Amino acid sequence: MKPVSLSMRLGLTVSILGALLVVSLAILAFFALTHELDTLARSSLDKKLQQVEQHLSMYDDTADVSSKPHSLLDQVMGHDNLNLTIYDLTNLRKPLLKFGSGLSDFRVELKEASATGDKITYSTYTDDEGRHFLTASKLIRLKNGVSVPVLLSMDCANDEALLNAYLRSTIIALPLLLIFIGISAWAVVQRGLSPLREFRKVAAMISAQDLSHRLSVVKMPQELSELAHAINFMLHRLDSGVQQLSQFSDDLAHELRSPISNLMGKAQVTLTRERSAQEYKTVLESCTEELGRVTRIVADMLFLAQVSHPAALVPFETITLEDEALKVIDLFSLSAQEKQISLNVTGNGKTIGDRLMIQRAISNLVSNAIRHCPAEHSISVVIEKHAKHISLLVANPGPGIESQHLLHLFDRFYRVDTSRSRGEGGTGLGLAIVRSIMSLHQGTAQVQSVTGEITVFSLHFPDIAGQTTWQQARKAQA
Amino acid sequence: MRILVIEDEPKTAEYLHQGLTESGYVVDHAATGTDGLHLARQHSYDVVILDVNLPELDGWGVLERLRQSSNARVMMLTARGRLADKIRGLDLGADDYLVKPFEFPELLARVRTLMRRSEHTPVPQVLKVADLELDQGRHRAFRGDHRIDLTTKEFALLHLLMRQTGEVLSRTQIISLVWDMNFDCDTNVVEVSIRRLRAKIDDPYDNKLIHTLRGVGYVLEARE
Repeated sequence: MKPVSLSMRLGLTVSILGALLVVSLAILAFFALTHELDTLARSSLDKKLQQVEQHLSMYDDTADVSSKPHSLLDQVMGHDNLNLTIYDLTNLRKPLLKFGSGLSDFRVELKEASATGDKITYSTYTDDEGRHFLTASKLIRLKNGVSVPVLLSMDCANDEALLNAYLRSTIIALPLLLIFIGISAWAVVQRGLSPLREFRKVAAMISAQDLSHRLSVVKMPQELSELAHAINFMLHRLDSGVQQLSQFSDDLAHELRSPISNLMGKAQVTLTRERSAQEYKTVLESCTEELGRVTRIVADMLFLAQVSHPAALVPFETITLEDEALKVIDLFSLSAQEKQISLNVTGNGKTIGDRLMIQRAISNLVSNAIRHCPAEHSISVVIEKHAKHISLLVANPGPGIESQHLLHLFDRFYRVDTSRSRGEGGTGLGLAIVRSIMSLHQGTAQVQSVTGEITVFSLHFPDIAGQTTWQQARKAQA
Repeated sequence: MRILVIEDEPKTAEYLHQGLTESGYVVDHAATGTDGLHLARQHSYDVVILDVNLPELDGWGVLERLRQSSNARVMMLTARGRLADKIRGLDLGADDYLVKPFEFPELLARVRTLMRRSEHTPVPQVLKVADLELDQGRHRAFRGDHRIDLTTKEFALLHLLMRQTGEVLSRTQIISLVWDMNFDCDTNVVEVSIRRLRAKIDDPYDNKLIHTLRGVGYVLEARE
């Protein structure tokens, strides 16, 4: 089944709910009205009957009633819908007094009259023409002590006409009202959802080549503008990701091109003429060194790919950071000694992670620090415990890094001084690897530098408790 | 000592063949998985070097079928270094796993390790190469009658070079075995250490023992 459109569905739902509401209101109003009209009729009959009683009590006997009915008739005169009938209990065949056109059925009246008591009783009656009557009856005492049954009845035709008019107008208005409600709901939803066309337009324009389109959030309802913001943000991230990727493959090609063209050139030059064995050997040796560089770049790239998208769960263990730092320092101490640089480690802390990766991150930072530290200075590795995380800082004095480079320092192949570090054998991936390793550990890598004074690289590991839960979540996911 | 190389890339196969032959092994070569499996079933090899990406029958398939009949030690070669691949290889019964690009000395060292795995030759207390002696128990080194003072790391490095005398050790291997760092570090620690070790055991003497193979690594041996 084809799903019905949202606006249609909402329009229908609102119409049905509206119908339920209006119908139940109408029914409620009908009953309330009926009840109210009935009460009104009774109370007016009641009042009238009291007036009749007042006058009737001044008559001497039954004969008096039939001979001088005027003061009684005055009471009901002018009320077209009122009928007054008075009987004589001794002779029920013929009423003492009869006024009004109603209650033509004699027998019914007779039955009423005979049943009349001292208290007012009410009864309803429908005649052959379908007219409804409400009758109030009571025994009223005359001056001579004789009681006569008095029947005062009211034709309810007016009330019925009112009710009928109400019902008719409701029945006519109801469908129109419902159609109006339904259409309004449909229109409101249509209008509210119209920005979705904008979504569709932008979605149609987006491809891997062009991720620059954004949704305009002006005049959008709040729910949709939040969605649009989220989509815009997603597009932004995708865009920068794709740009980074293409930048990265450019850089990679560039990085590999120079050693490969060196190799090619060197080999071609060597082959153009006969050379001594020693010369061939030298060329091969230099080629091997150059290839070593290519291999390192490729190995680093593979490592980065592996760390960024680990195919399998890397088992984490508890790592004592100062031990790992000391091990790395041990490795670098000779290189540092050559430059008369002293290395020291202070502080302690534990985290969980992959030992090899953490060693590698520390090693990359220390190696950079030694490279940029001037001779006869010292490099310090400091481990600090904070409330939420553990930091490992590698600080070295030196020329520092200008602030415009700081933001890109952890990017792949980013180099502050292009010619220098390449000559010294770096692959340009060291800090990118550090960042990837840290993000695999749910941590961050940062750098701060004061030009001409000091440069501090810091690794922030989340505290063990936080990491443990994260690790469990990772396991549960895997 | 017989080795079977199953590798479809002709250049790789060629240099593996040459390198291993020159290191004193008898080497056979197969270019497809099916040929390789056939050869491996007919002859008995000490080590099979098996590439993963092979035509007809891939390395995993060869390994699986080979394991049904043979106990030959198998070293997998692959361009993919994913942990899952490594685990799969080792689960299927591979004895070692080497990711391309690799250094030839490392391959050679691993082949030697695989060959040695069965036989237990204890490392002697005192190692001797030409007139250089290393006493592990007493932590002392002598060149002829002269006692040489070595730092801990220098001692460990010399011990490694003497234990593997005649074998080329690459920079990565040395870092891994002496400093216990199993990744490619950007450091000149090996160069510096070798220079310092040379200053102590070689420089004062005519018969040099530590040799640099530029681009490959270092070897300690007595050359005439």
